[in-house]
Amino acid sequence: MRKLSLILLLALASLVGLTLWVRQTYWGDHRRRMSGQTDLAKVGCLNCHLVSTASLRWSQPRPHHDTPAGLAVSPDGAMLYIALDDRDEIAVADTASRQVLRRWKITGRPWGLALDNLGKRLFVTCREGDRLAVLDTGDGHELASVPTGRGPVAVAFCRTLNGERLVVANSLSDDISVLADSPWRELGRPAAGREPFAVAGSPDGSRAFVANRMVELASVKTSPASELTEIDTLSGRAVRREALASAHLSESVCAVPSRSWMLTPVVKIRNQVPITQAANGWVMSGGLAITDVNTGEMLQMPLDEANDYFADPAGLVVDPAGGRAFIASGGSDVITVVDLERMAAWLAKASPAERREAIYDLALAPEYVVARLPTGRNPRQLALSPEGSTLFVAERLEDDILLLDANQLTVRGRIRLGDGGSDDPIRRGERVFTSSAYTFQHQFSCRSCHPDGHMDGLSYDFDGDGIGDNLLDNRSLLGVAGTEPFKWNGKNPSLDVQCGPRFAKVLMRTEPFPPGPLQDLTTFIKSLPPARSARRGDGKLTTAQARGKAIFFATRTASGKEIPHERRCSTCHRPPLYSVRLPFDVGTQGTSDTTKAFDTPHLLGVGGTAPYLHDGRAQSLEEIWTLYNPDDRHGVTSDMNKIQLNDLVEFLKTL
Amino acid sequence: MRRQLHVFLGLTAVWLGLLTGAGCRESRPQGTLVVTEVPPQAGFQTSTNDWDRLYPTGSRIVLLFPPFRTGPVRVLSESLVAAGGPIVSPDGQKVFFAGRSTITSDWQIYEGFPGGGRPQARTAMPGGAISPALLPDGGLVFVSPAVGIRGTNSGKQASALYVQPLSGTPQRLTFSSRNVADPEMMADGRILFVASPQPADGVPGSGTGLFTINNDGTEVTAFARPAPAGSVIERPRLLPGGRIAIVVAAAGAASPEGAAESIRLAQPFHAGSPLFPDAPARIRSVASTANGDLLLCARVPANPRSTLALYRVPPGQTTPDAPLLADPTWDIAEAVELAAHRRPMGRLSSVDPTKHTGQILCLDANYLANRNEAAPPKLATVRVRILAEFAPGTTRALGVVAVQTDGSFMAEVPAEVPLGFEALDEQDRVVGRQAPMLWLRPGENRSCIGCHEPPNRSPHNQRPLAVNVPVPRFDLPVGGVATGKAER
Repeated sequence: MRKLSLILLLALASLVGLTLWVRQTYWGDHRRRMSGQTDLAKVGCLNCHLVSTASLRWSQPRPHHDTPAGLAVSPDGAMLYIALDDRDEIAVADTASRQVLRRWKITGRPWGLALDNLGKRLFVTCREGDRLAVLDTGDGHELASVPTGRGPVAVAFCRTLNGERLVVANSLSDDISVLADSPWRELGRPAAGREPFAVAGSPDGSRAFVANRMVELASVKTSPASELTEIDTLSGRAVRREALASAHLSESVCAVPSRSWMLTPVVKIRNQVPITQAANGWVMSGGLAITDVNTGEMLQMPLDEANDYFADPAGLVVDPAGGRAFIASGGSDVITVVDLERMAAWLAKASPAERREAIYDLALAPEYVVARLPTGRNPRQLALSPEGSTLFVAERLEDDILLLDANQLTVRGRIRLGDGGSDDPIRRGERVFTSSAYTFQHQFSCRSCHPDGHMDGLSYDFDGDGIGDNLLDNRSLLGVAGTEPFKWNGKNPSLDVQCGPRFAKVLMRTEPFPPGPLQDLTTFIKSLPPARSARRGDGKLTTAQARGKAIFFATRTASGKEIPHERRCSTCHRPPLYSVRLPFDVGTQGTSDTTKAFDTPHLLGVGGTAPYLHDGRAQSLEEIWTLYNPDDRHGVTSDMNKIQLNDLVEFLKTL
Repeated sequence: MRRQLHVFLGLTAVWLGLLTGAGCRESRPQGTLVVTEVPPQAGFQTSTNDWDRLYPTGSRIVLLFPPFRTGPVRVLSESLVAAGGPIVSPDGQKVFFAGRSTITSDWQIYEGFPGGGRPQARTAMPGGAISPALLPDGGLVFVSPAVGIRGTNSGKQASALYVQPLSGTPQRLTFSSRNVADPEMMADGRILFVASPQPADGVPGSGTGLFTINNDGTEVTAFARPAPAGSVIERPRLLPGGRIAIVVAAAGAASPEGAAESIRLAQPFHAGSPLFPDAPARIRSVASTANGDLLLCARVPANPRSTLALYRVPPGQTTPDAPLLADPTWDIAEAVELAAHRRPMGRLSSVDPTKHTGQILCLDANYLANRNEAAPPKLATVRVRILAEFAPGTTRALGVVAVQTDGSFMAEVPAEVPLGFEALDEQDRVVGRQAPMLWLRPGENRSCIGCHEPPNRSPHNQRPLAVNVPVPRFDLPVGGVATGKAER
């Protein structure tokens, strides 16, 4: 017995000794070598090991809701078609009884809707199916399915001299599918701006106008602009591209009958100006872009007020007489009613300078805004009955359609689609995410910079570290769960901290979210899956992508020289998150940066998150290495030829 | 035994609940008003202190219950010789007002207890404290010393805004030589207040203006058009429908009463519109109730010599009906509803107490609104001289900063000192001047669009060149000697 105890004691001592020896001689070296870090204070086993996406919130099942997206009203005004993207359904509601009569199943996340002139066919863009479905409105039968670009979100039906046309905005492939009929086929796919999101045809059907949600890629130190793309529906070609200066997040476009105007709601951004204050629209404000399709003149008019803002302008419709425009404010739960006659009268008497400066005058909107109508949570898409008497409002996070009397500006009732989902913390969190109620004067919501949880492609100068220092690229929130710490300097250990007091102090300029809403908010953010990648439907890699994968995981250069561990792609961007969540100095410190080491972003969905690097200086993945990696500190890439670099980029786009 | 204990505890809980509930119902019927009653005066006596004149000895804070008959009332300012300026907390549970415990003592802020009990002093400010307002976290905002907008402080410190946290010492928010008065919490969390320049023309209070400031003293900003010459703005109060009520009275007049106007939050620099166009200009105060009615204290139109009466005016009505309460023995000077109302938004402070300076950024010293780009004006300003007011009327230059080619400039300047600016051309001639009127708190970053910035303008989206060059720092001169140039 005593002997056994002695043996056990010796064994234990040996074990301890061995552990200490390994720790002393191997453990530190292992961590240093495998992580590429010299300071090991933040390096632990879990940076590299036992990381799994299966346990993350976004990969878990979640409740689905009857969330209304696109709307279309039948020519007789009797029926309202509602896309329920979260259910993969189209709801058909009787506008008189305000009852849902039928629901049709349709795969691929239906989003945008349009009807033909007789109301016989319903055209549905399937955002994740990358197709356009043609439904028979009689029985919901799918008449045709036409492939489009990636992420189609909006469709307009146009009648031309040469037949019918459908113009589809493909939000992920940044192009426009122009479809011709008999049978439906793609006539052309011109390039759009960045993230085309809305389409409207001209009254004669010869032209279509596409509003793009994100700004074009450009130097982060210049004023950005999004694009309004004009399409010749006959030929299927882009014929004009108008820049919306310092304006973005356009989710609607609409022609004004009796005028040569196309209206586009915009968020007027001021990302070039140091954020020393939120007051007076120093971060952003809402506006209405007017494009004169005859003269090409572009104007921007404010929709906000001096001391109150109506965040996230989304849907827009104009009544048949062209007298009034209705704009949904998704962040402020308001429909803004603009008297277009009064706006035109103001423009007529204004000097060119006054018209050009109008968007900066926050006291101007009362000259033409005649009403602000409260709605339920997150009004987005709008539709008007053909004669213009009823305004339909998709209250997205209420699972409702609000019916407003467009003349009297009173509530007629609601079409109930679902229960609102208040029991679901993800839904509650999305309500917090999309609401401007928590920010100073309701100026913006989380969504204002992270549309649909993604990013706006801009860099900002926050003043918490002084004016003019540390211009920072806005990162996507898609797939962000499990990638803590946050911020480019990695100082925020959790989303609770990231979205808490720091956010209130630097951006909201108010008080932090209350604990309950904050928890719901972070739950929602964690539920956001990564952005869609360019991987093929069957999950297999193309030849180029496979070659790129080999480069990504290479341990030797093409010439056979060993790549130092800390300079291999997969050391810092280790699967499955493609980040070890540690800061690295990759030689990108700028003149105004106060640190050399930046947090390693995850690469899931990285193909859709340009611009890149901490300050957004790289406009493409290629530029990371062709322009900003002169010393091979951000991977050894200087010996790569053009094809190898392209292969690497192609692989990254599949993540 | 355990069961008996549970029964006993349960019954005790029920009894306590009934007792508490009954007490609440008994003490605060719906529609209860907190009212200031002032002994009628022959006239508005001149004094160095507004509040001594507005609330002479005998003024009191009372609770009035529907149906508002004259007679016995519940006095909240019991034991005080004078009281005025009541406010109700957003939860409708607490009442604060200013009061004096003796004829010779200073005004201080008191909490009164609607359920009964002697008022408790909440401040002990040298020189007194008046005009309470409440931050959403319960912190008290007030004015000290107790001078008021019409008062003369003849060499003494101008009245300033202070905030006193729930636990902590009072912190000063305003740092100018102007008297400030009448703080009112806005829904967005800013503090709206009235400020007046020092009387330069012998008419105290003339040229008053409305300003806003954050709850930490940052971002002081003009809010609306200043009062016309010869008149003063008093008692700004939030109204429903995005409006603010003010009383505009003649400066130096024998009466604190005037006409009530409303200012639209959407266009605060546009002319105000009369709230009661058909009523005579003998209005002392306006406040709103939870349902949007206005509580108006004014002289009976048919009898200007009558006492101030209380009216309740429904929304949209521009002429008061019969008074809710008229008492020949009291002037009803002001009334607020003892009810819950909207809690203003809070705000985290951006003040860094470890610093003694702040930074200013001007985007374009040559900014002109609606500039005609076809014929741009010659850019005149090439340097800016930064001024500081060390004591009322004593202004010295801190230094000169170069203006970048886009018109922008930045500087690090001492905190909590009124700052002014002089725009200089190539020959160092002053082409524009702004007297010291704004200040920075420690660590504050403050920006403006330009020297000719019209109100309610948002900036162009351009990166100012000034952020790319080192920021010159200006310190307070030692012994009154100004620092030299700090050009870049």
